Amino acid sequence: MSNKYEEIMSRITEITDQPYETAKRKKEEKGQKTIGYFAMHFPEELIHASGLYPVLLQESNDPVTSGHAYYYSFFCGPSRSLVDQAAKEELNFLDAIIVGDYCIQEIGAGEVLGEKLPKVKNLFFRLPVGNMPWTGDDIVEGLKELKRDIESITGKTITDNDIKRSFKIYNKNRQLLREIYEIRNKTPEVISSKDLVRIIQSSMVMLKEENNILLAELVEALKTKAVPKKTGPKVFLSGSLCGAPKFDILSIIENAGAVVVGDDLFHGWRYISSDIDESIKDPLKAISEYYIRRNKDVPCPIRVDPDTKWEQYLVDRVKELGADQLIILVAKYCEAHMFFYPDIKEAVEKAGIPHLQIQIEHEIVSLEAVKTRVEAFLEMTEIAAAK
Amino acid sequence: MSQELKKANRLKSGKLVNKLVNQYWEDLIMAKEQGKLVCYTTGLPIGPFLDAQDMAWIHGEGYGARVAARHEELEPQIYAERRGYDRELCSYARTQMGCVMFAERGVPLDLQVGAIAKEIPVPDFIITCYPGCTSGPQWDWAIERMFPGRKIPWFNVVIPYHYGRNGSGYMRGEEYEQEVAYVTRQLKDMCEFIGKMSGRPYNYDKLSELMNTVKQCGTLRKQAMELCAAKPAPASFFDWSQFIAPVNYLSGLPGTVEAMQAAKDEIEERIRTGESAIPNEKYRIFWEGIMNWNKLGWMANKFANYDATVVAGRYTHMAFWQEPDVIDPANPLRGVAINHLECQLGLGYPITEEKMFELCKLYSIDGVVLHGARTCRSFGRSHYLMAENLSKKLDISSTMFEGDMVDESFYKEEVVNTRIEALLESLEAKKQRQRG
Repeated sequence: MSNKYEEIMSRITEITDQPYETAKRKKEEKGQKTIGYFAMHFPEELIHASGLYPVLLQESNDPVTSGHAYYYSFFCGPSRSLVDQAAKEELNFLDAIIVGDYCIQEIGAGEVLGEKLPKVKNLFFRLPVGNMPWTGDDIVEGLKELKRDIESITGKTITDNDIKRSFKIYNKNRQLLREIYEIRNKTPEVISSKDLVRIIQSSMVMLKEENNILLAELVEALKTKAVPKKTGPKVFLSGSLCGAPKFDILSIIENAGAVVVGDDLFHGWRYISSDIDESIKDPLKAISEYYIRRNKDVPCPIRVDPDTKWEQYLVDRVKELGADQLIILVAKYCEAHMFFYPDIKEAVEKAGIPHLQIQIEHEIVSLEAVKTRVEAFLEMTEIAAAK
Repeated sequence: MSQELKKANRLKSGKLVNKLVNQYWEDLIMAKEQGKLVCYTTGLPIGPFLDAQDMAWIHGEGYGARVAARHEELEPQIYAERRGYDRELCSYARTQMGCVMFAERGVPLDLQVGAIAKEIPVPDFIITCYPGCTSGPQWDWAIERMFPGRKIPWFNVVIPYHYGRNGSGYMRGEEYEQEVAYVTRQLKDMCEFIGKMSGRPYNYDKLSELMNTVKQCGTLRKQAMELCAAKPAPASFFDWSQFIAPVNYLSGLPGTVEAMQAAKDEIEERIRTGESAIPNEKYRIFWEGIMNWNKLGWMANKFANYDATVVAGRYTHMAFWQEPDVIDPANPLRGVAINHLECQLGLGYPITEEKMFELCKLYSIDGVVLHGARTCRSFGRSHYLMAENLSKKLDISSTMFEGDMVDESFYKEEVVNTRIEALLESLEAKKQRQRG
């Protein structure tokens, strides 16, 4: 029975190890044009509704080399990686890219891609931050502009019905992924963090209809999978990472004996926490409402909504999921997270939740140092608990 | 290359700016005692909007620059880092947040803190008006969180990127027009918000008066800067950096027009007499990047020593009421919106390049220095594109070094020297080839 799970994970691993191959094949076989877009706040449903293939651009595992001819090394890993991919001509298959104005480092990367990929249409999504009374309407205006620009690629109008059909497919995808999370919440040992990230990643780079079929199989396989016994400390993983967390780091955490019981990662719960409300008549208003509500469900430091309290969210989630400890993954040079970390630190210390901050760099210099810190952190908390 | 000790010939009228700045900060510290509400603001100059309602304001970047200019920035930065703010974070923000922590949490016994760094009044409300930098609103939100017992009212003016979609360019095109309308609408709402904070109807008449002053000051500055197309240049980018305050957080205040008029008069006199910004101008340089405030004098003298006039820069010449002609003081909101929207930091790369190249031609630029401010990723995001295209399209060489706005720990002086020398050697070789 576990062979079925492993067989599906093998397919998923093949897809996520070469994240753009599926899109490239669709283009070769069916001539389907592809739009690449940047994390984390992006109306994928709008691209899908247009009939184009949406690919959420992924941080590569390759060291940044050629990309440093176009971007300073003190920019975050995901943005440098995308610039590097463009410099190495790995993104030439795209027909368009879309960047949004919620992160200056992504915008910069988008501008470099715009110059280095002259044959790829460079689109822009205006997503206002903040929570002024008019923010929702302003987001709708940004969506209208984006819709107009996507339509200029296909030459076809994206109808309301097209968008609503996409809502159903995307909501189904998120529901299936949440089902996997529910299985994990009941039995955290059933699935490793690395596998969970790969599963989410597969959703980001496959057509959602096809991913839904794969996920449905996976849910069934998980229900009957053998569960390894693990009794280590329960850890909640937090981060505002645009790229997938490094598998080496996840392995270090789990090999040190920790059981990951929850996360708020973008390649995790953050991506799937909320659905678009299909009852809202105007689909662009539905997407706008979704952005604002999703941010209240899992606060994002980039969205700058003072009515959300990321620090309190983490305290509550850690307690809700019965975690003993919190490991915070901060992407080096991520300004949004760097501004927030001190507030999180003070809140979790006040709540008596032990925490460890690990800075994630694109090129990790010393895994041994990370391993030592993680092991020491887990041991300290075990010793404190034993007393 | 010989290195006699030459010094920059800075504008004497800069002393008027120093006087205005000193007075402003002294008044600010007393603002609460005078019964004024205090607004924290970051990004574009909105001082006139607050002054119209008789309020005081602390401009975050201006504050950070002021603290650094007095060499009081180290202690607030240390205190902020102790709380957990990473050194890679905007140094303006770390400086201001450290000072706010002094005000809210007290000064630790082991830190010797300067006067201005520990006397910052706390905010009654916050207004963000940031172009081209997503860190700006995040910074203000971090400030808001520093007062957990209070809910500080906050207004955010979203200045959208003018990306250059569908053929839109500098002050033209559909994207431009839509975004000007969007910002204008928000500025109106901001006036209503300020009125609500004060408990009185908003004083649009006073705003008009103040914007008249802003227009005059901006016009004089633009005229004075354009005079520096003369060879040798009578003033430098370092002078214009000093003169940012009257068109930034001092916008609309008494004395700003007089200071700018004095600068223009001094420049005209220098052109008449042949007096230049540096003793011996051999090279004309464009400064691409933000200013390093605790090294302004140091940098000015360094380039003077290399016989290089830094004539202009994106920071000084493409922002801060750079389009004064469009301001109609009687109905100023649209003119303010245009200036704010077209501020260089919020322009898409093709538009930035277009305007920057115009300046390089106007000022007969030989070479470009790209100052990669370590903690300002907004400014540095297009530097490599600029370096490549300056060479390809204009045959202008460039050099690059890392530094920072107000955190001097990011400087390596010998690297700066080496990079500048390499640029100037290549410029000298080019001149010799052209002569030969």
